[in-house]
Amino acid sequence: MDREFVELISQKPLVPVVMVGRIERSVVEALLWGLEEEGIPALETSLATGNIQQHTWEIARQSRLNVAIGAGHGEQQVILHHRDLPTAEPLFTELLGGQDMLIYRRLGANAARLIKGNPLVFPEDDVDVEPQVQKQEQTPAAPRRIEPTEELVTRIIMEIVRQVLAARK
Amino acid sequence: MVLIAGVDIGNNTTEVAVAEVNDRGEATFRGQSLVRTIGIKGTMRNVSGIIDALDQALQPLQIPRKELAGVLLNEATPVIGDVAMETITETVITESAMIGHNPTTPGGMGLGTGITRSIADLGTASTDQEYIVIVSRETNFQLAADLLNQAVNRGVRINGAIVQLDDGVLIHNRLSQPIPIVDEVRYVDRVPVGMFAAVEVASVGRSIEKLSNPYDIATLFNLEADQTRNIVPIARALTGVRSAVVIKTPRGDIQERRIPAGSLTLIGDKATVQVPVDEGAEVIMDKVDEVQPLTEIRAEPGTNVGGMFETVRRVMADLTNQPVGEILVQDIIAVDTLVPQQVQGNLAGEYALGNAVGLAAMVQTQKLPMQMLARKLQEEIQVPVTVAGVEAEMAIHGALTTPGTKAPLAILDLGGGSTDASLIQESGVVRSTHLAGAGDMVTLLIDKELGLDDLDLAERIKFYPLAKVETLFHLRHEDGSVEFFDAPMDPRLFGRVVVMSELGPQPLPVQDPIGRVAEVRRKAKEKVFVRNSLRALAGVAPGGNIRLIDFVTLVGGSSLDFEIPKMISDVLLEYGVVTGRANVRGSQGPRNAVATGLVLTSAGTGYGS
Repeated sequence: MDREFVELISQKPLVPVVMVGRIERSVVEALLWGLEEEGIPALETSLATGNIQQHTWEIARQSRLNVAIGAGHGEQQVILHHRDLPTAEPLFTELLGGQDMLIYRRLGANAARLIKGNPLVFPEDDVDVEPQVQKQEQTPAAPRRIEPTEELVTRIIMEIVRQVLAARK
Repeated sequence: MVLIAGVDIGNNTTEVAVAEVNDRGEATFRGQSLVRTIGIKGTMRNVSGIIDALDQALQPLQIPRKELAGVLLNEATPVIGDVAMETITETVITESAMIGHNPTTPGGMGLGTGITRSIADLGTASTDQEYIVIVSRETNFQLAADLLNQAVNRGVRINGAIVQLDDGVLIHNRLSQPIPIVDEVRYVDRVPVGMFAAVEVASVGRSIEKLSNPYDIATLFNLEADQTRNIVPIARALTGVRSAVVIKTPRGDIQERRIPAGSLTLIGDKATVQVPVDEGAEVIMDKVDEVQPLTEIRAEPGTNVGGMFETVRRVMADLTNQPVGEILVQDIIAVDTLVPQQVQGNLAGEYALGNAVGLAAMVQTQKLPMQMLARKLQEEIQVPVTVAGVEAEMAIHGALTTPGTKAPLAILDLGGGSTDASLIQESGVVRSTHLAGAGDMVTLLIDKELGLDDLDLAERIKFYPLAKVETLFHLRHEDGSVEFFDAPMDPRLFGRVVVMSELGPQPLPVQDPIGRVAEVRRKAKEKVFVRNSLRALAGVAPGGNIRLIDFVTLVGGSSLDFEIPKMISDVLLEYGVVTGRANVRGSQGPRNAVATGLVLTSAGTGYGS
């Protein structure tokens, strides 16, 4: 890995963002915007190949802020990792290829919040998600009226008798 | 030698004590149990809970239920209570005129004023005018920043922005001229266009200064004295927030509305007094003291309190098979609180604190249908069941098994629905009293003051200490101690105040710091239990003088609380009273007093022979 990069992230309060393989620019931008809105600077780096969890965890370990974001082309994953977590268990894992860039922006924001100690954001916290409107009184559908044929009545009585007998046992 | 069981059916729990009684009438306790009471106490539904409790107590002894020589029930005090909250003030904005909230990351800082204009119409903005720009979700932050910069280059003066999404910092970072930006304004479409507005953002760690001061608002908006009076509720609602917008609308009408909260009629032996609920708790409680002894309290129908009174009376009427008209509310306790209420006509989910009065009421009747319950239980378990003693007396006999106590002794029974006191004199005479307001009221106050709308959670906040999750692997308890975990915690807990309940840490959906949540909890307990302990003890003390009581033991569920006993003990120390939690039979703590008292009393009257 780039010596200069490692030196920077180990000295300055930056969130390292590592891309393994080819990653859509829109995804990386969304990650960076999430960090920017929360006021934490980021530093990008690219690697040709490798396991995304292994790389991201390794970089988180070297980072002064103990946190790193990784995006892997091979695994088609974007992850948020922390030094103290097991390598194979990042804090958040999102799939690549989604249309909703807000997912990646939220991941970036959560990396910053993890550092700041602020509560994390989840999809249901978004501004555009309307608060749950009071449950509307559901009018139960009128029961379907069935003409009581003699056969039906007999069947019902038999069923009742059967249940009463079963209960006695 | 026979085996007997004492059963105490309380509002919330059913407790059992099992003992062997020899032919000299001496009892040796063998077991006990505690289960949740099923149904309202004194009703037939209690039976299944009692059987369950008996089985639990007998199970370790490996003795079948039918070998019991007798089961003793207490004559449960026919007291039930309920709680309600009556709001007195609320802030109403009939035309949208203010935004004040705490987005975590607003943009820029400082104060800006101008005419509100949508970002879509910025192209036609005049250069002689100052503007506050409204950015709705359709315009992304990059476009918004471009449009703002273009306008500024054209000579348009832009002094602030109101943004719908969480984009404040992103827009701000891309501007050629910095402005204050309030973001996360959910209902940005309701912000009126073409109106004079002021935007203020404070620096990190501070709250706004101008828009929370009525005279600064008056200065910015050229207000007359009368108008300044009208914007006081706005200034108050904006106090302590990090970012705010105030908009002057032509008929911008914000009021602090006083809601008619109805009145209470206190009918005493000597006098009848009417007191409006909105006068506040102090006045109500003063009047309650004034008209003692109370015979009845009535509440105005159609109010929350009126509804609550009706509920308790109806429940008691059903329970005792008496007409509702014969059931009287005999005690109330009122407590002042501040309740966060969503501002009517809000733009970003703003809250303002409204005044409210919490009230608990208590009804008492002659007798619960205990004999019927005893017969039903006897039928079910095929063991003789008797109603063997009055709750208050049994409790005191049980409490007297606490090492280091003897008569004269007073007990405070801190329950869920009522706070009761009894005093036994050396002669064995017992006096007791029952007052409205106990654990359930504390729960209600916590729920309302924190705006939780979740009584189960409020109950846990009452009962368990708080903590703050500081990293994925550790949390700090409210006393400052730190606890580490091997595995990472749920990310939903991260950075939050949690209650350390039996289910593990549970996050609170509030933004308040841990100190404030703890303060709300402590204040709620103090308001209810300290006041009621004094009222109750004065009710049983010789001549109403608490100083004449030497020893008080605390029993009941709420005496297991981690801070209530200390609060009561502190205040009673001023009266020279020794106060502590009971330790029934030297082993049961404040639990099992009534059940133990039942067994002891019956054993003494020759049950064993």
